[in-house]
Amino acid sequence: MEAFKHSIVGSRTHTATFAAIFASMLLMAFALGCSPGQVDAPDANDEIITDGSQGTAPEDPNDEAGTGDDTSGAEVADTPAEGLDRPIVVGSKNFTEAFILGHMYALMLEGAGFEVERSVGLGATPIAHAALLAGEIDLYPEYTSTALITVLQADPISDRDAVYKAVSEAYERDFDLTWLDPSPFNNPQALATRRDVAEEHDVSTYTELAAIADQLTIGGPPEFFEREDGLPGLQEAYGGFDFAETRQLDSGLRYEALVNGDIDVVLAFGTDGQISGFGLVLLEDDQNFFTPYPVAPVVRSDVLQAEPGIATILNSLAPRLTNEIMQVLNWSVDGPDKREPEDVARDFLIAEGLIE
Amino acid sequence: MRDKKKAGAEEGAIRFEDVSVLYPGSEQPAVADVTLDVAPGTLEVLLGPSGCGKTTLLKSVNRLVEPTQGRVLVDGLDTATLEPTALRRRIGYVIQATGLFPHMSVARNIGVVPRLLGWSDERIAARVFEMLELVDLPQDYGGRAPRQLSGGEAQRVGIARALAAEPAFLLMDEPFGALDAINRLRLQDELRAIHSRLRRTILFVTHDVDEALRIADRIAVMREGRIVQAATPLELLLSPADDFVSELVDADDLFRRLGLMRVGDVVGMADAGAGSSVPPSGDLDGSSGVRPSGDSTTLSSQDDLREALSHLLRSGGDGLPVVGPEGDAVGTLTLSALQAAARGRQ
Amino acid sequence: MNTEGRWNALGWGLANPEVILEHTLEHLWLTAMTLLIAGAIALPLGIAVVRMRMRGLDVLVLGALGVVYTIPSLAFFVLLVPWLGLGRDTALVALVAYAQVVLVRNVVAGLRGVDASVIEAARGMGMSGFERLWHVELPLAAPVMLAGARVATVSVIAIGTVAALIRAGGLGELLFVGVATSHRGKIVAGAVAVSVLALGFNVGFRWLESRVGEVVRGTG
Repeated sequence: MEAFKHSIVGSRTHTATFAAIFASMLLMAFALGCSPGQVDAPDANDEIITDGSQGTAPEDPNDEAGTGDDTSGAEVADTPAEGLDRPIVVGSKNFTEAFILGHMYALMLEGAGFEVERSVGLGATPIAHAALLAGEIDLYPEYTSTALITVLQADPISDRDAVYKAVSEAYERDFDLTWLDPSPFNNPQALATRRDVAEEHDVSTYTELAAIADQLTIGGPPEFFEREDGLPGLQEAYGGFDFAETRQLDSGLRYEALVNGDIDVVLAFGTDGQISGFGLVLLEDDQNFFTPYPVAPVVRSDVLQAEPGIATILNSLAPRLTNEIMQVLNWSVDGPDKREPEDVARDFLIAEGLIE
Repeated sequence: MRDKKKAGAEEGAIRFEDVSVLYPGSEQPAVADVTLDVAPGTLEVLLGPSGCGKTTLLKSVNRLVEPTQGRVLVDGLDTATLEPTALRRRIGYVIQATGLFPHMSVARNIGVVPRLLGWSDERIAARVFEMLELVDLPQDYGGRAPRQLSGGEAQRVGIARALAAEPAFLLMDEPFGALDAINRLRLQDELRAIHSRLRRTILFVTHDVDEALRIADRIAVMREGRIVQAATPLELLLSPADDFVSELVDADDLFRRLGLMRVGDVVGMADAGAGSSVPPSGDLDGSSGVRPSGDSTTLSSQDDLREALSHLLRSGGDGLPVVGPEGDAVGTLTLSALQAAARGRQ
Repeated sequence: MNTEGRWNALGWGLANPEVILEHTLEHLWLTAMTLLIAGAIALPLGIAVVRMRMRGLDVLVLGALGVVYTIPSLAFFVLLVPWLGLGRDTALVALVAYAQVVLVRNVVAGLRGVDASVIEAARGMGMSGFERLWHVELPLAAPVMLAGARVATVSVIAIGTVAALIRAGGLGELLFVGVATSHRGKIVAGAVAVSVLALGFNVGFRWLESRVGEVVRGTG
């Protein structure tokens, strides 16, 4: 009898449960059904970035057939685009240099007549990598040593050619992804300080800094304080480097903290615009500790096979990206000008004669 | 005692047939081999110390508890064959904590079961009006929230709610246990009054002996899951089945016994030999017939013997004349007759 | 663009209200959809946990949801992107999953908090399981469940910012781009908008909770 009663109560509960789950499925379907146009659309992030830019027709996600793209007509002749029947999706991670590079790739491809969709601002290397593997994006700019350490989980290598070779081989073999030509610029991690700190303590090299670190505060991203190619590695390589205090700061906020005097030393990237913008002193890595970080487009091999022209186009950009240039470009975004990355990218490409 | 087969077949009867309840994970059955007939219209009290299984037995009637053995028959039907919700809607249920729904007004609370049964709004409203009247609550209480009621008022609403759908049965689980003494007595009297009016079959659980003796038609005394004795209150006091019952009901308390007997019962027997009706002696305030309150010179056949003894002692005599319900002289109650009745030697 | 006040924290936001509005609407959409879907899952799940007389089911379900809650959002996205790709759908799945633990816990707590005597009375009066749930248990559990919805909403608004990491839009776009490019105006605009949303929902839910509470307690 007890069981009988339970089964009655139970069956009612189940009915209610299933009804609600069914309702939730309906809702889910409704939610997903009403949004696909918006999901893939270039959303507001792009819109900030494309503010005041040319017509957005090439970005129209509904225009998948490739028709109605008025820029493609003129140049489609010398860049056969029949291999891919959809727009090329260019991704990027979400920091200034990544934004600029992503837009550069997109603009270059558009300039060559490709239809391009932008997916810039991906939150982290693993997300960008996963999106690339899943075919959500077709290519994005990546640093060779980041790929080596973060994606391949390998130990840092200090020779830049060796890094590139290791990474491109592993990517081709394991992921069916192709690395195009790397930039000459090397965006290594670097330690920078304010001019007054450098003068007060008379430091210009890491060896000198390591000795007096216990009087200073350093700021950097969280992983810098944990990774072997970060502070622990520095301490091992140089000895010393026992900073009085360490602060975990996101990339955008780090320089402000330095300029405000909250910290004395910052983990910088060699191409950060703030270095020249704020007149900071880059200290010399006299034992060549930091790994080299040139950047290159990583492309899905199947996309590259369908559209071999992509390689030629993007490889023509690579040699122009030097440390000095990237610093200036980054500073136009991060510095007081506060320009949008896409505008900076376009102006540079036009000035270089790479697009019209 | 009672013809079980006949009682079981009757409408309004509750019959327990060899009922046992063993809770999962427990060695000792909560109810063990209980067989009991509750005749239609009876107010049957299940009396016993806490943990004796009386509440479990009560809940087996509306299938809040399922017997692990035996059957419970309601209206002569095996409850196991009935749909639990339909069964419960025919059986009023009152619990000590009232269980009033705090988010519903008093009127909505009373109308819950009628609403479940699909009554029309007009019929429900009329019934709510009737029920508030029955339990002696002002009509404007219908709009109040349960939180605004006193304990006694809340339990009145509980009773009204249980009776709203005109159930033939009423199960009451220590309904007055949480009330103060005055309210408890008042509600006991009202329950008696309601019972005499409606003649529902009521199963009433309590551990309070006074309450049981005061309201019960019959009492089933329970101990450790079994029924020790099922009898009328007077029978329990006069001939307790064992020491446990005797101690529980304090059977030696003669005043208690007297309180359960009526003058009419004794005088009828005592006068069988005397044969003559005694004319009323001095009528102090000049009234005759129905004895006015406070009058110590005549007894009513409806008075209980405890009351009668008090009057008798006050009168200083050996006996007092007794009048019937219509004021007719019935006989004389003597001290010796009282004594005999209290000793149980009638 | 904005020549005056490039470092003026409010200047950018004041100059670009439509951008803020657009991201706010995206954020609202994401939050509302998350709550609708999460609620539609959490309610039956919580009811099932309470009703199914399976020993330890609550510990199991709430434990599992608690574990989900502790997965860092970035890691969650990395797990989801290969299956579901980038964009709102993926963000929705993650946010719905995050909202579950708070919602289910409060549904369970709300239902368990209903006075046992009230439930016994409801059963004794012949209410079916569903009638009891609908007429008694859910109304009486409503204030606690609403409190859960409030906490879940505020946390979804907060966690929702990370949806920008997988291009799901919302106010996180402003925040992350702002932080990445040292753009104070965007950071301030995003942070203020997120705070206003969270505070607004908090106040709104609290008001609703107290109203429902009054009705349920019979003091309204």
